[in-house]
Amino acid sequence: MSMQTQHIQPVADERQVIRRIAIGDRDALAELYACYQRTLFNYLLQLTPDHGLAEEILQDTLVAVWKSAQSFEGRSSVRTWLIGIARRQAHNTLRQRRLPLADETEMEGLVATDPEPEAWTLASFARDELAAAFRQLAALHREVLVLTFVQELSYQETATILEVPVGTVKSRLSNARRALRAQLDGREEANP
Amino acid sequence: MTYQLSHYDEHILDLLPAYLNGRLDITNIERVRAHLARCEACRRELSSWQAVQGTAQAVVAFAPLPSLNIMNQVLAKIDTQEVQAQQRKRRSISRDAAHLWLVFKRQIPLIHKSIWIAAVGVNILMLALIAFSRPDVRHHLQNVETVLAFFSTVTAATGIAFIYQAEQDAGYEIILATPTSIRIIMICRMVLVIGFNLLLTAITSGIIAFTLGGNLWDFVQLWLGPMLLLASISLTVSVTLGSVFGVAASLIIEVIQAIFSSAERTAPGLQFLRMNIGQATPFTLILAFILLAFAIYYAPRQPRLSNS
Repeated sequence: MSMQTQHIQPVADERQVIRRIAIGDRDALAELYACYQRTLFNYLLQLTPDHGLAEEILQDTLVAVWKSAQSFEGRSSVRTWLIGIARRQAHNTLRQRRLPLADETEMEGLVATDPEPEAWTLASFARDELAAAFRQLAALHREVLVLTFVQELSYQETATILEVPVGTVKSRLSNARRALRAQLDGREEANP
Repeated sequence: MTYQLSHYDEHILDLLPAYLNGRLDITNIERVRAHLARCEACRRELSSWQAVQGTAQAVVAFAPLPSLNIMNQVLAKIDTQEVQAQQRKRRSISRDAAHLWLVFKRQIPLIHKSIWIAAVGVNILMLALIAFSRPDVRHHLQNVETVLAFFSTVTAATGIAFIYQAEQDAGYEIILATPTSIRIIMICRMVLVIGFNLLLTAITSGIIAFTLGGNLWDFVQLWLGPMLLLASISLTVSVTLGSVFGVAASLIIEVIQAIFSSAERTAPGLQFLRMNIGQATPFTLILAFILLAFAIYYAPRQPRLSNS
């Protein structure tokens, strides 16, 4: 829970930075970028494997932040706001270039109400195996896992960014885990 | 022994990711802990989620960083977009100006012809009156001043009363059907009619000043203030009550003014009674401006009033 306190501490400063951006302070934009470059770039890399394209979307995100800083009302956290902007920029760019969008392949299932069988546990797999399987996941699933476990956003914040109900966030998380499991099974079958 | 399924025995699968990332509220944290203590299947689920969490964090930790020059490129993009926005703004200002000029020009044929003809006629009449009057009367400059101030003011006020009225305006339906603001149209027409009257009366004053001798500015001062004030009164009354009332109001004011003016000449003690609109004083101009502002503000409501 130490990560949570880290989120709370800089809030006042961050809002101050956004206010400075709103009045045209370019140094403030550079400060914000320094704080969030990793967050945003990591997130964008889940949406597109193309490093150059991710950088381009990152630039567009900052330009959009520059232009819309005045409309930031502080109803969401700065982190949620920024990731939301990055997501919209990514979707615009991917749509323009006719690249697959994360949403299109979604098959929403219900959240599992019963625990999965003992043999299904992911804890027994090695780290590299899990990492390799993770990289093979659909963008949609990598996205929700990164928002939850790396950005440590609440369900509500993730739902705001993804523009879906909270229930969908929960079911997407459980689908993502199931997909990870399926990737690992596929690997086992391929290399017994 | 009967076993009752308590709150803590319900599986808490959907809460586990939030429990792990520390974003669960205290009530639910207690509920998850209590359940985990007694449910092995959910403990297994938790360890599965822990594996997912560790994987996501590890994958991202090894992800590359963006290039170092991103911020410079962003600032360059911002510069380019700001320049483009300024160009667009300039283009839209010149487009607006062109549109305004077009609206202004289109008002010339739409304004009732009699307004132009009357103004020209009255100025010719004024010149004729002065030219054919007895030389002793003509050379009495005060008489010339009275004629000039009275006629020019009344003409302008009457013209103004008819620039904006549903019954008199053939193009009125077109105005209502176009997105161009009624206020803009009214201002254009006002500028046209007052401008035309100002120009004509200035020419007449010039001719008089040239033939009878005298300073042109002295003549202009006689009618400039009253013309603007009376025109604005006329416009205000015409948009609120109707053109006929506009004309009537300006005529009444002008006649009262003329009566006081002649009374003053016979009995100079009455001067205090005279409303000081006889010259282009700041008071006259400010009052004229306030009345015009009111008329322009009021104009867009008028069609709705007349429709009701």
